[in-house]
Amino acid sequence: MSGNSKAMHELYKLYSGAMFNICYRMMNNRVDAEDMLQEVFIEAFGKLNSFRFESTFGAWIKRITVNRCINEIKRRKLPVEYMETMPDSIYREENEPSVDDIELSVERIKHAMALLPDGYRIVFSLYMLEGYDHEEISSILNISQSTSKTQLMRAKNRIIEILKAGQLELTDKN
Amino acid sequence: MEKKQSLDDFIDKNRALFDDNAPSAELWDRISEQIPGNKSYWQSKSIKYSLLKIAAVVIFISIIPAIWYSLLRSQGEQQSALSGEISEISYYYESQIEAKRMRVSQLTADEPSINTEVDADLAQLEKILSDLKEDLNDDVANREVVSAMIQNYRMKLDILEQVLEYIDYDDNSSKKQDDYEEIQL
Repeated sequence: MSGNSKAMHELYKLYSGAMFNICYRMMNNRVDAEDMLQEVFIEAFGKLNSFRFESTFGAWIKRITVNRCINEIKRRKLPVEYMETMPDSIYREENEPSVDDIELSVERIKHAMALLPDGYRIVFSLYMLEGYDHEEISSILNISQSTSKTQLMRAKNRIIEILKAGQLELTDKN
Repeated sequence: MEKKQSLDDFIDKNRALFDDNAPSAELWDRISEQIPGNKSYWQSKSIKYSLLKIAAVVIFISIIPAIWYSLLRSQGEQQSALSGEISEISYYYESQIEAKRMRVSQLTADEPSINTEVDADLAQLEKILSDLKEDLNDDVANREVVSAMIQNYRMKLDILEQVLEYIDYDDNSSKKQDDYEEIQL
């Protein structure tokens, strides 16, 4: 392997895990996530010359990853529905349903996320796990910030409903 | 009053655990095959060169019926007018090929495997070109023979241009890599 190839392999080893998880959450299945990851790294390595160090390499490739996944979802014309907006007063933290009586675990939340409609899951992932704010999400998805907030709140509520329903199932089985 | 637990807090505290999926081990091989500058990419290019060689042979074989057809119809017609044109074409392509070949040799001095591969590809095409030139001496269906010669020259140029493109990419990427090392990414 030439020095250049080794360096690319090192970058791949460093960032492929995190980028794969983003792809997985966006595409919601392993096969599509691997296809996306492949395209992301080929694009990134092909555009290395255009990387201007205005951000870290991690942030740069993360943006490529998110854009690739969004474009693929749009290309397939998957019916991503963003719900109507609500008044800002509704997005208050105290309005979120309590999870005190729910047994939270990473696995259960991931399972609940996989059951969300695409629009909910994408906004939830971008905000809660990838660290984007509503302004950035509105720009990435070409939706209003209010729509982004609405999607997030509904996604959280749906996840909590799914977790509660799962808890009931577990209780019934016990 | 005890603060109620929130989904946000739980995810924040356990953020790293959400990244527990990993791509399959074979994925890097698939990626590296498509990155210009990688050896596996170069190997896959060699397959394309092999296909070019096969195409050259197919073109050569496919013109044989045309040669005989032309022999029956217009043997001897317009052949002399071609000789000047052939010399011009040969001079044009051979000078371009020679210039690119020298450039490849200079740039791949430290990569003898690339030189060997290119030499082998060009030698095979040269063999076909020699056969075509012999056909020209037969003075039969020379238009078709010249057309096959041009295809042959273009394949040689294609090979050399792809190698130069690869070398150029590798050089640029190496420079970029130096930049990475400077900022210790």
